[in-house]
Amino acid sequence: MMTPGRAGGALASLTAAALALPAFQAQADAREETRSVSVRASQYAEGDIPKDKTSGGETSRYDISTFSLRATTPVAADYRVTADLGYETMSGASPWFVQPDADGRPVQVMSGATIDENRLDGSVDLRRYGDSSEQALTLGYSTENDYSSANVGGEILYALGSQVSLNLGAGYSADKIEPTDGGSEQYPSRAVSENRHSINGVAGLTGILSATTVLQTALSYTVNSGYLSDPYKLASVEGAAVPDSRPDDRTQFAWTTRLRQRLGDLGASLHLDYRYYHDSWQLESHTLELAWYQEIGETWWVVPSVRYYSQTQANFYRPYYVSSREDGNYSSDYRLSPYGAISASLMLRRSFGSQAVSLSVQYYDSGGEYALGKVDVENPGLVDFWMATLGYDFSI
Amino acid sequence: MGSPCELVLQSPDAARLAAAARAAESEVLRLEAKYSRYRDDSVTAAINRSAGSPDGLVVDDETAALLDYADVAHRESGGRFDISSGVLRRAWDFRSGQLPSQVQIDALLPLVGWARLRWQRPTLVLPRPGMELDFGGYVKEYAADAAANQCRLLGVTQGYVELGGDVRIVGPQADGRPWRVGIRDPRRPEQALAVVGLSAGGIATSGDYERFMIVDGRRYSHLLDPRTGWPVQAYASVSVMAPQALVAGTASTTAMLLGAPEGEKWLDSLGLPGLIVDSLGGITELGRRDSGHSTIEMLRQPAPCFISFTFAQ
Amino acid sequence: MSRLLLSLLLACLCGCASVQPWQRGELAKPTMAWDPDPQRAALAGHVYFSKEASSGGAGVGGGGCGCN
Repeated sequence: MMTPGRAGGALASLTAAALALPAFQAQADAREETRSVSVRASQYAEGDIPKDKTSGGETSRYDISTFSLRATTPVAADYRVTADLGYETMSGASPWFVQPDADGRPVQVMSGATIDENRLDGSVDLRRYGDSSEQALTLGYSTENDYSSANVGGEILYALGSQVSLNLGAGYSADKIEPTDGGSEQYPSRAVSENRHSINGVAGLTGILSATTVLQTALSYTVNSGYLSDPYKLASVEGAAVPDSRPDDRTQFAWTTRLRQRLGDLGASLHLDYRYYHDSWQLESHTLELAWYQEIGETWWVVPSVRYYSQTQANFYRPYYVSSREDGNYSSDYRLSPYGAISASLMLRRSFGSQAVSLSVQYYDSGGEYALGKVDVENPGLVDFWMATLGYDFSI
Repeated sequence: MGSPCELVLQSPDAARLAAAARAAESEVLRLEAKYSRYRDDSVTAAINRSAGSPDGLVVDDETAALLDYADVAHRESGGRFDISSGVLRRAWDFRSGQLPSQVQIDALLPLVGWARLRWQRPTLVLPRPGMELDFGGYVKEYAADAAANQCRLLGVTQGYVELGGDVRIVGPQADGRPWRVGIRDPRRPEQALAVVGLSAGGIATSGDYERFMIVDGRRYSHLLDPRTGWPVQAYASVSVMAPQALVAGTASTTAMLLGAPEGEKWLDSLGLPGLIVDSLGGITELGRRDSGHSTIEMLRQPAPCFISFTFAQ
Repeated sequence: MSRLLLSLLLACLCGCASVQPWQRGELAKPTMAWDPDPQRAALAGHVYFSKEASSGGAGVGGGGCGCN
């Protein structure tokens, strides 16, 4: 007398046997069938620099409007092509240099001229889907008033068994900087034409931990060389203005881990991302991001998220210099200063059949008080901003 | 297929819609012809003709996969799901209103039993003459899955395929809402007792109201226990939802054949959502954990099952 | 510290549960993707790249810009 098969085993065996049938073999992956076009329009606005942090003059900062277009389609049986096009206009004043005020506190001097710039960038990604592997090739090019960049990248994904996959990637970027008014009468010490390039490699592992959890961890290594300074910025060295000069190489290392957890009973997915970063300028940072994707009904997403960031300073950074350095490296760019930043955003998305509309609003605030370590002197140029993005997607 | 079939598809592209509908229909007709009991040129007829021949016959890949599936289903159902039980049809004539004699059934039982067949891919041997295979118990659900797959391959992602009450979803409606599939009240089959909202996967129902006769106040349905040759008498109907209509069909048929309370326990262990209506009209909802793809909405209490209590004359 | 965490994570991955193909429905939900909105992620990445010192993530880097 036969008794029915063991519990969970029954469904497992039946489904496996069903999937072996020819009608299921040729099943096209959903991802391979989607053809879609997406547009995004973003408005970014930096908060005014507080008057007590500046030496007078311009206090308003950057405004950036961005438009981007993405189109993706399957090609033949196993390929997918994705094209991205972006257009950005930037205007406003940006930090020029930092100098000590009468009490020795650093204050930011903003550039007098209002910068008006446009940037255009495009990239194409060709991806091939195999039975247990994927390969991708990406080509990109961007150009703006004073900068152009061409890049190429490749990626391979291998399935190591059915629960784990490995991804390896490599990329190369060659950039050319031709600063506005370089070597001019007004700015004789400003660079005229410079180059830089970088090589980057990534290795990662992705694992399915359970029916509701996936985890990815990846290491990224980048070597940059060439002109890595900011041609528009100056540093105050012993009271004199000196061009921003950074080392001509920089090695960067990042370790990123991402978790996606499904909470089906709540109709939600939890995203957790952490990145540890360290580079040869001795700058170290931690980034932690948490996002909650809440599905409401079949058509709404409500996605609140928070991000915490903290970085230490580059070893040659100072808000201003009381004595010159042997290595000749000077920068008072707030981006190389120690600080922390907190950001919160909310996205709403509604789908209408094959179309979707989304609105996202983000606030970002940075300050010495948010950093993990103690920050004795906060750079006066630290930024805070609001950003709103409107999106529209449709699938064909 | 001998039962009503319906194909509902949505797509903004008319050409794609037409192509998908044609492909789906031809896939269903192809499978019907290939495994039909009534056609001389079908695989089923060829298999049945080979009964008694020691060499058996070599089958194609699709048939081999279907036989592998039947093998797994036979094992996982404790021997209740048995595609060699078709010969019992010769004893049971539901139109006659007369029960077969035990002698008739005893004569057929030696021809029944998947364990008696020798299935070693790709060769199938039916050792005794008169043995038969019947794919009818699951090829309909497989055809629904195959037809839905054809639609997806041709870029249609909204719609469903229904073959005689078994449904496989191609994809949710254009506005994202799920399709609403009715579950028949087993004692009033023209009315629905529940509505299921499905965005993906399939649903299959096995019931004692599809082919049956009532003799002396007792219901005898077409769901025969292959070990005894007699119909099971426990549940009125079982509906199961699974990612594949094929698996849903096997699950609902097996649960019916296992009867109460084993059928419910077995379904619980599978963890698939569904509904059991027992012979007294009680309803049990399975798989309370929402799979995210389906919701069950009860419409009414099922019709009271007085059949068991009519006067015996 | 990073090396210890890394080996812990790898050990975690090797102890992966055996998840069957039919169970992957939950993992295939759009909100479970690494980036459910890739354009938004790319835009955010670009903003952080230009406002902070760090760079690098799980994918190969794109091109440069004058923003950093």
